[in-house]
Amino acid sequence: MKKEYLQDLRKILNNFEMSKAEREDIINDYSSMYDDALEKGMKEEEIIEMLGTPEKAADALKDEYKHITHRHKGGRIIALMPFLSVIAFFILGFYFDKWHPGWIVFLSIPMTAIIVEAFNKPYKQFLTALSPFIATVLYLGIGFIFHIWHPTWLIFLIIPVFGIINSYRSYDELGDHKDVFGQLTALSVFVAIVTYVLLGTYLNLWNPGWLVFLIIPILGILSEKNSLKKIVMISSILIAVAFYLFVGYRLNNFWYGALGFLLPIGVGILTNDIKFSFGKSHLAVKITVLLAVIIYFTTGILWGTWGYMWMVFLAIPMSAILSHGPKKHFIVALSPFIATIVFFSLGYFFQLWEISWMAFLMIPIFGILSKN
Amino acid sequence: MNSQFKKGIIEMCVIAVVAKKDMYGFEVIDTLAKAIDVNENTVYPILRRLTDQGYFETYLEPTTQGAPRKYFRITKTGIEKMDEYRDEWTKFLSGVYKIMGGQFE
Repeated sequence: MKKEYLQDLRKILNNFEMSKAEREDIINDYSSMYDDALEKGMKEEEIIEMLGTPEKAADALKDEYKHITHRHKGGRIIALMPFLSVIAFFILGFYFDKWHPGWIVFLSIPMTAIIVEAFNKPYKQFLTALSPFIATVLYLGIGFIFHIWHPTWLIFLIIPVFGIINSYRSYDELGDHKDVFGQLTALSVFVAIVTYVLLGTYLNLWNPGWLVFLIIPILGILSEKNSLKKIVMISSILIAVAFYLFVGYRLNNFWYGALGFLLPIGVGILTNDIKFSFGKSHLAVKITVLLAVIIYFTTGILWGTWGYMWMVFLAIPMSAILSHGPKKHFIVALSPFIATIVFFSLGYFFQLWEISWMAFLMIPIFGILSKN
Repeated sequence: MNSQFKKGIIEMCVIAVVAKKDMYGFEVIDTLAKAIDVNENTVYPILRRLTDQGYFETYLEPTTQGAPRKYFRITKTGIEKMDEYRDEWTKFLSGVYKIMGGQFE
């Protein structure tokens, strides 16, 4: 909790006009006040109440300590953009009869805000802030010019990818241990999605293309310190994959091939990495995992729905959020998953890829509504 | 109570507690919170500003566990400021008591 508190405080102070040394000094002061309060036996909630939330603490500094000011350049350009867009739209429409695609000029309103915001961010966050702009421009450009809406939507995955890279930089700045494999595991989710969709779309390899998702647990295992355990666990996954492919293609029955995955599951249970307990706290998540696996393989084998039903696995993180996440913001936390389901369903069943990407807009909308 | 007025009183109290003995940030907040009704998260910015204005100076003291602790010590300018505050406060309070009919010592 202290780590998150200081990280949030740093993020807010990054938007203030002050020297780096001053910012570090403030962070260090809050860090030692936090430690002193812990030492005195205060609970973390009480400490945050005392020191103020990061937003309140930063606000108090700004009010009290006059030479610290919130910096925000480019506000005028953002304010002018709606008027300039309307003028440009009418000129294009009345004089050149280009109502379509003249409407695109309205995209310059959010784009300007994004670019200005990006310039207001510290250098390291520049790319993260700019990534929605880059992704949207590339997506619309390729979509309108070449009519390849799918799988160009994958370009939107650069947003969380840049976010993950940047968040690990922030952890590093806080002096935390830099977990390279942790970062690679988080990034591998997106690499796997891109590879899976490309394999499915262009080579119709939805099955066994889903096997690329195994890169996620493999990278996770690489962070394991015990070398023998590492080798055994990775080998068991690779043997299971080989068995799955061999039986699947040889006997034309992937269902029997899937039995090979009992090997890594068994190894996981033996090494205590997969635990079956019936404590109430994780019961919902465990049931979801079990149901997701059963539904995915049953529907895949019976009706060949490998290409669509992978989304059933999204229920696992969703159930974890519902069980353990902060109740106050659970809709915001769930919104990326809901957006992905809406997006993929509209695209997959109705070929509405060019419209369905807008589902992702619900993420910032829920974020803003929740903040208010 | 007017927030600016209260802020002025808290500032005076911060100077007064640090004048009694050198203190670290949490200690100042804790001492004030025990004595008066204060919004604790406003104390650190005041402490920082007073240091910036030269009323306090800081030094690091090693601790048995963890990083060294930053202590605040009052400066000569700080003592002058405290005396100034004390005079103003005494005059103000005696005036208030005169109006209210009480006794101020």
